[in-house]
Amino acid sequence: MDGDGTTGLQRRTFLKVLGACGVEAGCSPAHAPAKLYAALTPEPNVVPGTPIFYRTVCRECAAGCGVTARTREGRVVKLEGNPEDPIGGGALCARGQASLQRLYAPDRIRGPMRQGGAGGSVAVSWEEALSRVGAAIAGARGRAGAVRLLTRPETGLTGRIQRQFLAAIGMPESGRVAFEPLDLAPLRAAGRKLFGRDELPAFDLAAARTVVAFGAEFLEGWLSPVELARGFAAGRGKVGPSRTRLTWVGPRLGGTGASADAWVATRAGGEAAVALGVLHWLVYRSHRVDGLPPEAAALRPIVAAYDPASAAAAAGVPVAAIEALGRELAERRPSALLGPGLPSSGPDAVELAEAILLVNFVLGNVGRTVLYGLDPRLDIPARAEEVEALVADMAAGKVEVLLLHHADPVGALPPGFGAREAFAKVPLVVSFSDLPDPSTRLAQFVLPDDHPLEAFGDVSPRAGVVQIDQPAMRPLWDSRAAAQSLLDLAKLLGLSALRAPSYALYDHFLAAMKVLAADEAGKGGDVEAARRAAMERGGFWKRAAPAEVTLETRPLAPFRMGPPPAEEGVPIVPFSTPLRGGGAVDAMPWLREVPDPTTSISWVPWVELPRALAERLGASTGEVVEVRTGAGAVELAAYVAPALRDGCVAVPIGNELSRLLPAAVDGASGAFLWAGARATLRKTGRTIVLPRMSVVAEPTQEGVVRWVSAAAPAVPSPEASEQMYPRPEHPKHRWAMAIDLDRCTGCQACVVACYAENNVAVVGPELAAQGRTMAWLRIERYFEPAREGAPGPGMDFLPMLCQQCASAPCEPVCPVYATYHTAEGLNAQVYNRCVGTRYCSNNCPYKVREFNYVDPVFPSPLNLQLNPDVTVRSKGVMEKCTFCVQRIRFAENAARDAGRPVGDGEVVTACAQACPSRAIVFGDADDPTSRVSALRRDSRGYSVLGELNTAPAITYLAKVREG
Amino acid sequence: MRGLLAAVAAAGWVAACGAPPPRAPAQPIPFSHRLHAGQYRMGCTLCHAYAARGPVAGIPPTYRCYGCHKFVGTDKPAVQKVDAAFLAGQPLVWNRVYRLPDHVFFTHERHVAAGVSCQTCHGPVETVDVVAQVAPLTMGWCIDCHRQRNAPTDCLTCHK
Repeated sequence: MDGDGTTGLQRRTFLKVLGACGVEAGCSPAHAPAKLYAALTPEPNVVPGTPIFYRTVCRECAAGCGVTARTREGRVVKLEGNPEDPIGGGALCARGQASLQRLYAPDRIRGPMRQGGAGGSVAVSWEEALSRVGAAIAGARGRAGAVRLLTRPETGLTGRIQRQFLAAIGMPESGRVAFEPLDLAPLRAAGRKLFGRDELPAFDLAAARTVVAFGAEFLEGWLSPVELARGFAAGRGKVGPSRTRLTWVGPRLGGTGASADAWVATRAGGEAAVALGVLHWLVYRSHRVDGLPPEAAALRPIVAAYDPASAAAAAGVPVAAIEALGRELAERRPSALLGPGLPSSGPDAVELAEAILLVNFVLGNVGRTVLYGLDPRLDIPARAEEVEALVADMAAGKVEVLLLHHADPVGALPPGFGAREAFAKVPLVVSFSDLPDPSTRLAQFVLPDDHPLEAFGDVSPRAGVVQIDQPAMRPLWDSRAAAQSLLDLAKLLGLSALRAPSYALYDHFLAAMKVLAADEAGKGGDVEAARRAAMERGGFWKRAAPAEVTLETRPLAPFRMGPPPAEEGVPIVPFSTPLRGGGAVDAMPWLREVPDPTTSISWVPWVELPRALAERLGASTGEVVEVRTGAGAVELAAYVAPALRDGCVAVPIGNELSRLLPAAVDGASGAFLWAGARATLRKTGRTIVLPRMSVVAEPTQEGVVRWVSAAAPAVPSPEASEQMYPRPEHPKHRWAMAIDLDRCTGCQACVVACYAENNVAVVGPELAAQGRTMAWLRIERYFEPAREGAPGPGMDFLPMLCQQCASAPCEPVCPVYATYHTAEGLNAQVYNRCVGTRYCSNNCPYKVREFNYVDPVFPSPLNLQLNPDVTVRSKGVMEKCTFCVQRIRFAENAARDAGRPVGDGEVVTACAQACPSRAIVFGDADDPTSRVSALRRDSRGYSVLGELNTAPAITYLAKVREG
Repeated sequence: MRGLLAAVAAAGWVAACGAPPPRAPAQPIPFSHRLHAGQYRMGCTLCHAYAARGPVAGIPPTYRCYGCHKFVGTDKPAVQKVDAAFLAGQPLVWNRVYRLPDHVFFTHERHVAAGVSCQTCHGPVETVDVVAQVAPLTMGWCIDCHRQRNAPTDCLTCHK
C-alpha cells in the first residue's frame, strides 16, 4: 500500500471486502445446511443416484414411437428411443425429446379450473368440477347431438372409453369427432379410389432404391419421420449405384429437400403435374420400359393430357426433368414415391396422391415399398366437413356440452372456420388439455389430463403393433388421465356400461392388456407372463403382413389440366420444420430456441422470399413485411431464401400461417386446404434482428462439407501445418466419433438430445438475436452451387460440436488449466476452474465453446428435468461438449462392476442415441475392431479444417455425389 | 487495486486458517453410532444400504429402524419418537453432516469397491455418539489420498 491512504484502499473498504469474502467462504456449498429426508420404507429396485429406465410411448405426433424414459429419484430426466420398438427403432426426433418440456412446462394446468365469469380463472376441486360438468351432461342426456366430443385420434383404450361414454349418455357415434388438421386425407382418398383401401400406406424406404418426395417432408414430420428416416438412411452412405437416391419435387427446398440428389423445382402447386407427367412417360413408353403390369396400358387414356411437354409446362419445369425422373424410376426399382405433404396439400392434392400411387403401382412398388394393410384403421380422423358441421352446430346453439380432448380448433384452424365465435354459443365447453391452448382458454372447465409419462394408456400406430403408455413418474400436479375423468363422470351419472371391470382406468387398462397378452401367449400360454414381458419391453409387436392390392378395374376418369392460376398475388407455400411439427410448440423452449435447420432462425416466425421477389420488393432478411391474403394480414420478418423458386413465398406452419388461410376444404378428400392461398406483400419499413445461429449471412461451403463420388471416392488429405507440441498419448481409450454427412438430414434430434442430456440453457430470443445461444452441438447449414436445372443452391448440413482435438488450440491458451487433454482423448472443460477469460473460445477454430454471459434460468418446474449427473454452469464460465463424459463414466462403472472392459457400442452419446438415421457413431478409436475405428479408416473420412492439424477425434464421412 | 488483491488474499488466508471445527449438527433423534455400530457391531451397509452399489450411501428408511424397534428399546423416548413417526407416516428429517459441492460427482460405490474403509473419510464413527464431519472434504484432501493410492487424478474423474 502507498501508505498515505489516498491512492490505496481505505482501511474501511479493506475490512468490507474482507468481511464479504468471509461470508462468501462461509456460504460455499460445502457448508450450506441441508436436510435429509428418510424414506419410510425402502423403494424396491431404487438405488439413489442411479437411473431407472421405463418403457413407454411418445404422443407428440401420431407416429407412436417407443420411448425409454430415464428417471432419477422419481423424475424423468431424459427421453430416448426404445431400441426394441419396430416404429422408432431406438431413435427419437426433436419433438419427441422435447415432450419432457411439456411435462415440466411452467404453464401446465395444475389442477381442475373453472374459467370465465366474474372471477376469471379459479382453481376448483375435482369434485366440484366433475359434479358441475356431470350435471350439464345429465341435463343434455339423450338429446342426440347435445353433447359432442372433439378429440385427437385415440387408437387405444382412451378412444374406446370415449365412445362408450358417449353411447352411454345416448349420443350417436357422430357425436365424437376425431380432429387432425394435418391428416393425410388425400392419400387416404386416393387409396380408397384406386385400390379400394381407405387407409394410409406404410413405406419401407430401406427397400427402395430411389425415393421421390412430392412435398412430403418425410425426414421432418410427414407420416412417421423417425421410421422413414431410418429406412431412407439404410441406403445412404454408400458410393455407387447401390446408394438410395432422393428427388425432391416442390418449389421450396426444405429440410427433406436438402438431402435430395435432384430438385425438380415446380411452381407452387405444380407437383401433381410432375407426377402425372412421369406416369405418362412410363405408361406411354411401356414398350421401352420393361416389366410394367398389364394395367399400365389401360392407364394411358387417363393421363393423355399429361404428355411430358404439357406436364412440364403446367408444372413450370423443363421437360428434361420429367423425362429424367421417368427414366430413373424405370431403371431403379423398386422405388417409392411419397406425397402429398404440407407444401403440396392444395386443391389438387387428391390428383397428386392418385398419380403418386399409380406410378408406385405400375413400377411394382405397391407391396414392396408401399405397403397397404398395415394401417390399423382404428381412429381415422374425421373429414374436414364433419369438423365444419360440428362448428356450425355449435354456432347454431345445438351443442350444449362440448368436450375437448387435446383438440384445439381455435388455435389450429384458420379463423375463417369460425371456431372462436362458435365456442361462445356453447353453454359448457370442457377441455381435458394439459396446456392453456387457445381453445382451452375459452373453456368453462378444464379437467387437466396427465402427461403420457404420468399415465396408463396405449396407442396402435400400425396393424398388430400396440405401444404401451406407462407412467414413468407420479403426476406432477393435480391432474387426472382424461379417460379417468370420463370414468369418474360415468360413475357420477351412474352409467353402468362403463362399470366393468370398475370405474378405475387402471382396471380397464389391465383388462385390455390381458386381452392382447392372451392373443400373444396363444392357447395354453402364460397370459400373465406375456403381459409382463410386453409391459417391460414397451408393447405388443406382432408383425402384420402387408395386404395384396389390386387396381380397381372400374375405368378411371381422365386427369384434366386445371386452369392456370390467375388470381392476384403470389402463392403461399406452407411448410413444416422438424421442430415445429403441427405448429403448437410454445410450451417447449427447446423447440423454439433450436434453430430451423434450413434458415437457422429461432424463436420468431418468418416469411421466406425468393431472391428475385425480394429484390423486386426491395426487402432484405430481417425486414418486416406485411403478408396479406383475402383472409387476413400478418406482419412477418423476411428471410431471403436462396433455395426457393421465384413466384411464391413460404410461411412455416403456426398461428401466423393459419391467420392467412381462408376456411377452405377439399371436397374430394375431406382435407383442410393448407396450400394454394395467394398473398400480396408490402414492406412495413421496420427491421428486426432475426435470432439466427449463423453470423455470416449465407455460409457457403468453403471445404467444410466435402463430397466424394464413384470417380473420386476418397477425400484428399490436406497439407497439415506444423505442430508446436507433442501429440498426447491415449494409453487406454481414445473416445472418438464418426459422423456420416451422407446420412445426416439436419433434423435437429441430436441437438435437442444434447440440450436435454447436458443441461444446456435456453437463453431466449433477445440473447439468441445476439448470437448467444448455448448449444454444444449445432447443425451448420452450407450452400452448395446450384445443380443443373435447379433455380437455387443445394444445402448441406454438418453437425458441429467439439472436435476433441488431440492438439487442441484451446488448451495451451487457458491461463488456469481449466481445459486440458485427458488420457482418454477428451478435451476436458473443468467448470469450477474456469475464470472466463474466453481465450479458449477465441483460439478455437471450430467455434464450439459457449460462454455463459448470464446465469442460466430454468423456470420452475423445468429445473426438475436437469440431469443430476452434469453440472449446471453459471455466469462467467465457458462450457462445451464433453462427449457426454457422464455417459462414458456410467458405462465404465457398469463394466468395472462386471469386471470386464467397456465393449464397443456400450458408450453412446446423447446425440448418437437420438439420431434417426444413425449418422453418428461413437466408440474407442484405440480399439481397432470398433465400429468407429473402421469408419475412421473409411476413404470418405476427413477432418473439418484438417489443414490445421489439430487431430480431431471426430471424423466426418463425406457426402456422396453421383458421377 | 493492489490493496483490493491484498484484501482478497487476506480473506482467503482467514478462510483457510479459520476452517470451522468438526461440525456435528443436532439431529432430531439422538441416534448413537457407538451403540449400534460399536457395541452391537452392526455393519455400516445394514443401514446405509447403497454404499457398495451406488453413488449415495443412503440413510436408512424409517422402516429399517422400526423393524427392530417395534420390539427393542420401546421404553426409550427417542425410540418411541421414531416408532411414532413411522406409524404416522412422517419422514424423519436428518441434518446432513457430509456434503460435497454440486460440481463434485462423488460415488461411494467405487471407493468401497477399492477397499477404502468407511472410517477413512467418516472417522471412527463406531466410537462416537454424535457424528461429526471429521475430514475437511477439500479437493487437496481428496487428491492427496488419490495420489497415495494411485487412484485417478484426472479432473473429469470428479468434475463433469
